[in-house]
Amino acid sequence: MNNRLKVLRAERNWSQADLAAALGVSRQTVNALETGRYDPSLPLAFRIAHVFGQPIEAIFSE
Amino acid sequence: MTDRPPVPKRKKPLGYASVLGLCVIFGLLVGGASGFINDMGGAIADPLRAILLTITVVFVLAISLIWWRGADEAVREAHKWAWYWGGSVGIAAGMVVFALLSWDSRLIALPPLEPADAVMIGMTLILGLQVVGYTVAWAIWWLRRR
Repeated sequence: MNNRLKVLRAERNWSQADLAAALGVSRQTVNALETGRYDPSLPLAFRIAHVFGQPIEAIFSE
Repeated sequence: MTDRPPVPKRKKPLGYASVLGLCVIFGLLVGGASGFINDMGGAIADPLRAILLTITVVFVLAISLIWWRGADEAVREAHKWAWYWGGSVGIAAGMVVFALLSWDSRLIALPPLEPADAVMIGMTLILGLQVVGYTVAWAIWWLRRR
C-alpha cells in the first residue's frame, strides 16, 4: 500500500516526532509507515486522516 | 505552516527504560529475599520459595501487561512476528539438537547426568534458542521497515 504521509508531513513542516506524538505512536512507527513497509490498522488510519484533516483515500492508495 | 499538530491527552506509556528499571529493582529484591530464605533454611524454606516464585511470576506478568497496553501497534506487531517466527525457529533448532542426541550419541556426547539436571539443561537450551530466535526476528522486523 502507498501513502502520502511523508509529503503531507513535510507540507506542514512537522517532524516525525511531532506526528508520532499526535498519533500516539512511536517515531519508529511513523518512519515504518512513511517507508510504506508497514500498513496501519484501520483505527490508526482514521487517526492519521483526522490529524491531516483529509479522507483516508486521499492519504492511502493501493 | 509550521504549527505542530495537536497532541491529544493520553496516559504516558511505560517505556523500555522504565520497564528495565522496575525489573532490576524487583530482581534485586527477589535476589535478596532468596538469599535470606537460603540462609534461613529449615522446613519453612520451601513454602517461602514457592511464595517468592509466585510473586515473581505475578510481577513479571503484570509489568508485561502494563507495558503491552502502552505499546503502539507496530511495536506489538514486531513482537508478535518475533514470537511466532523467532520462537518457532528456536524450537526447530532445539529439535535438531534433540534429533542429533537421539539418533547417534557420538554426534553430541553428553557427560552422565542426573535426570533433574538433564531436564534443566533441556529447558534452558530450548528457552535460550527461543530467546536468540526472538531477538533476531525482532531486529529483522524493524530493519526491514527502516
